Amino acid sequence: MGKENQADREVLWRNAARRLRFRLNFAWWYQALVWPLLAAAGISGGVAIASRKFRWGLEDGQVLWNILIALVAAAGLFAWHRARRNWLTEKESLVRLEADLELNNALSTAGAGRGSWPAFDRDKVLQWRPQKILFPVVGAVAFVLIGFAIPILPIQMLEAQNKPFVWNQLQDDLAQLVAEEMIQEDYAEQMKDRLKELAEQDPSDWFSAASLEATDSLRQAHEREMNRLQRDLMDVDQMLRKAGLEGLTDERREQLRQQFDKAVEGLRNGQMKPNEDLMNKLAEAGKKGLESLSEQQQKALQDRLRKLAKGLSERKEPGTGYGNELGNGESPEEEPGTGTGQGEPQRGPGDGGDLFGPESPDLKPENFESLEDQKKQEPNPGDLLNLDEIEPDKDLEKKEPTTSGGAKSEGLGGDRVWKDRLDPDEQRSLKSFFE
Amino acid sequence: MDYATEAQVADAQSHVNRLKEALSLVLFGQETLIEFVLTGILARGHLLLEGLPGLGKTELVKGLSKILVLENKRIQFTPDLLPGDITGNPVLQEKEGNREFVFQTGPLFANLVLADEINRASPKTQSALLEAMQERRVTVLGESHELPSPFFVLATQNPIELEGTYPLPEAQLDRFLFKLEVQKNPVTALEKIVNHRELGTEPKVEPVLGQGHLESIIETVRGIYLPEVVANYIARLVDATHPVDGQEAGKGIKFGASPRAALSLASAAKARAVMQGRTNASFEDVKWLAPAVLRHRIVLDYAARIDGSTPDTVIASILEEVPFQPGGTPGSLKPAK
Repeated sequence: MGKENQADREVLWRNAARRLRFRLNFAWWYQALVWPLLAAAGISGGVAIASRKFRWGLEDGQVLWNILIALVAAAGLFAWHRARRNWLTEKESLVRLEADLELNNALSTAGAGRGSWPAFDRDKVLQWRPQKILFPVVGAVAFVLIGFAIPILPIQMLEAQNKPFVWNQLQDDLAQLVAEEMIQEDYAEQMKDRLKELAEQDPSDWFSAASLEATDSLRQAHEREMNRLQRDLMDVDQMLRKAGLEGLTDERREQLRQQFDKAVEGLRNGQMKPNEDLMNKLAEAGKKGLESLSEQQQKALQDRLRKLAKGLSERKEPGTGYGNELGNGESPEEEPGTGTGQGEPQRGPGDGGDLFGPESPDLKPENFESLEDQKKQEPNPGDLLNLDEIEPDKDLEKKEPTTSGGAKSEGLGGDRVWKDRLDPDEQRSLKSFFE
Repeated sequence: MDYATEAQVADAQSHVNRLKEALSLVLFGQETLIEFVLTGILARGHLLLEGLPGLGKTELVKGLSKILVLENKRIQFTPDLLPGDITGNPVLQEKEGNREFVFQTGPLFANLVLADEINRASPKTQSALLEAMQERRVTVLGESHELPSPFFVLATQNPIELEGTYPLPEAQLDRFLFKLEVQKNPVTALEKIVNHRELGTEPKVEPVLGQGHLESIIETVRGIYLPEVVANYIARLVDATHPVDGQEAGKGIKFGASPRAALSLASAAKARAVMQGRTNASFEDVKWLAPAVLRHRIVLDYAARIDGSTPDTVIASILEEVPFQPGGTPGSLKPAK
C-alpha cells in the first residue's frame, strides 16, 4: 500500500474523528445546558408574568428580553463549564470512532505508527435523538411564550374589581375634580385618606356592614359637599347677576354686597372649595365692590361659576339631587321665585307618560271600590303570622261533681304500662328480668 | 522493544490456523474451546479445563501435545499422590563406588503436563505445582531444577462428584491463565463423533508445529502492540472487580482480581491479536477473553451466591458497565443504525 494512499486515509479518519468530536462535545454541552436553559426560560417567563401582574412594565421594552438573553448566555457558560470535563480530545475521538466501528483499535495503532490505516468506508457511529434535542428547546420557548402571552389581569385591576364599587367611583370622581381644576386638592386629599383607611382594613371586612355603612356615609358626605358647593356657586352667581341690573338703590346694592360676601365666605369655609384662582377673583370682586365690575368681567365670572356648578352637577349620580330648591325665575320684584324648582338636570328617569294609553274616564275617586283579600286567611310563604281563626284549647269534657275517695281515672302506671304499652319483645325481656 | 511486523504476524497466523484445523479433527464442535486453548498456549499460560466427564478434555490435551510435537506427561491426581510423585525425588545411587543422591525427575519435567482431575490431590501436592507453574522450576531438598521450556500445565477438574476432592486454593487458581468450561457437544458434533470415532481408539493426529516454530510464534506474540487505551481498559476492568461502595460494577464480589489477572489479560489479548492476524491488541480481544481470565480469580460473597449470581454473570455485568473509553455518550445521541 502506497504512502500516499496511507496519508489520504489518515486525513479521512482524522477528519471523521474531528466531526465526531464536535458532535459529542456539542451534545455534552447541550445536555449540560438543558436544565439551566429551562430554568432561564422559566425565570424569564415568571418575571414576565410578575411584571404583567404587578405592572412593572418590563415586558413593554427591551428589559425583559435583555434579562432573557443574559440568563440564556449565563446558562450557556455554565453548561460549557460543566460539559468541559466530558469533552474529548482529538486522540480520544479517534479511539471512540474505532471502538464504535469495531475496528480493533486499528486507528490508535496507526496513529501511534504501529500499523497501517484501515480503508475508510464509514464514519457514522452516532446520530441525534430528535426528541431529546427538541423537547428542551420547545419547553424553553413555551415557558417564555406563556410568560408573555398568557392572559393576566394586573393585580391593581384585580384589587379594583374586588373593592366596593363606591370606593373606585369616589376615587375616580375626586381625581377628575382635581384634574379638571374644579376644586382644591385639600378636600380630595382628605377624602382619599379616608378611603385609604377603609381600604387598609382586612379585605375580608371590605364588605362588612360597618364598612359599607362607612362607605355610604362617605359617599353621602361627598354628595352633600358637592351640592353645597353647587348651591353656593349658584348663590354667588345670582348675586353677581343682580348686581349687574340697573336701577338698584344703594341700600339694595349694599344688601347685595353683603349677601355676596356672605356667599363667598360660605364658599371659603366649606370643605370642598372651588379652585384657588376663582376664589381669588371672587374675593377681589367683593373687595372692590360688585358695581366696579365691568359687564365683561361680570359675565366671565358668571360663566366660570356656572361652568363649575354644571360640572359638579354632572358628577352627581342621576336621581340623587335635591329637587326642592327655590326656583330661579326672575320676578319683577327681583325677589327669589317661590315655585319649586325643576330639580336637578339629571334627576333621573321619570314616568314614561301614558304608557298604557289614555286614562279611562271612569277613573274617578268616587268610582273606587275597595278590594277584599279573599285569601287573607291563607298564609303566604314567608308570613310569620296569619289571620286564621284559632280555636282556643277548651276542655270540652263535661265536669260533674264527684264524691270524695272515688277514682275517676284508672291511671296508666305500674303493670299497665308494660302490659299495654310495650311491644311483645320488650314485654318478654322485662318479664324475664323480673323472673 | 521490537514490535511484531505485519509479515511476522501473518506467518504466525498461518501456523496457528493449521493448529486450529488439526485440533478440530481431534475435538469436534468445540471451536471456541480450541481457540481459547491455543490462545492460552501462545500466551504461555497454564489452562484449567472444567467440565463433565467424557467431554474430551483429556483428548484435547493429548491431541495438542501430539500436534505441537512437545514432550507431554500425564499425571492422574489422586488423594494419595505425594508432591515428590510429581516433582521427582532424590534417589540414592551408587556411582563409581560412591553412593550419592541423584535427583530423579518427576512427570512435571515435560513441555506439556496434563494434570488430570487436579482437585482430587491433597493441598500439599497441589501446592507443589505452585513454583513449577509460576517460576518454571522445581526445588527439592534446597536444589532447584529448571523445567523444560516451553512449559504448560493443562489441568482438568470435574465440577461434580466433589466428595473427596480438595478445591484449588486461590493462589493456585491465580496461576492459571484461563479457566475454561467445556460445554456439552451440540447434536451435529455428537453425530460426527459417532460417525468418525470408535470406543477405545484414539484419533490419528499428525504433528503440525515443531517446538522451534512454537517459540518463534510466542516471540511474535510478545511483540504485539498493546495500545495505551487498551491497557487502560484492562486496568479499569480489573479494578471494577474490586467492590467499591456506591458503584454497581463489582457488586457481589468479595475479593477481586489481582494484578496478575491484568497481566494475563494483556498477554492473552496479544495472543488473540496474532490469531486474528493483527499487529495490535484491541478492546474486542480483551472483552472476549475477560470471562476466561477473570472467572476463577474473583470470589463472590454469600449474598450474591444466594441470589444465584455466578462469576460469569458478574463479569458480564462488569463488561456491560465498563465502557471501552471513559465518558460514555450524552443522552441526545444514540448509536447510528
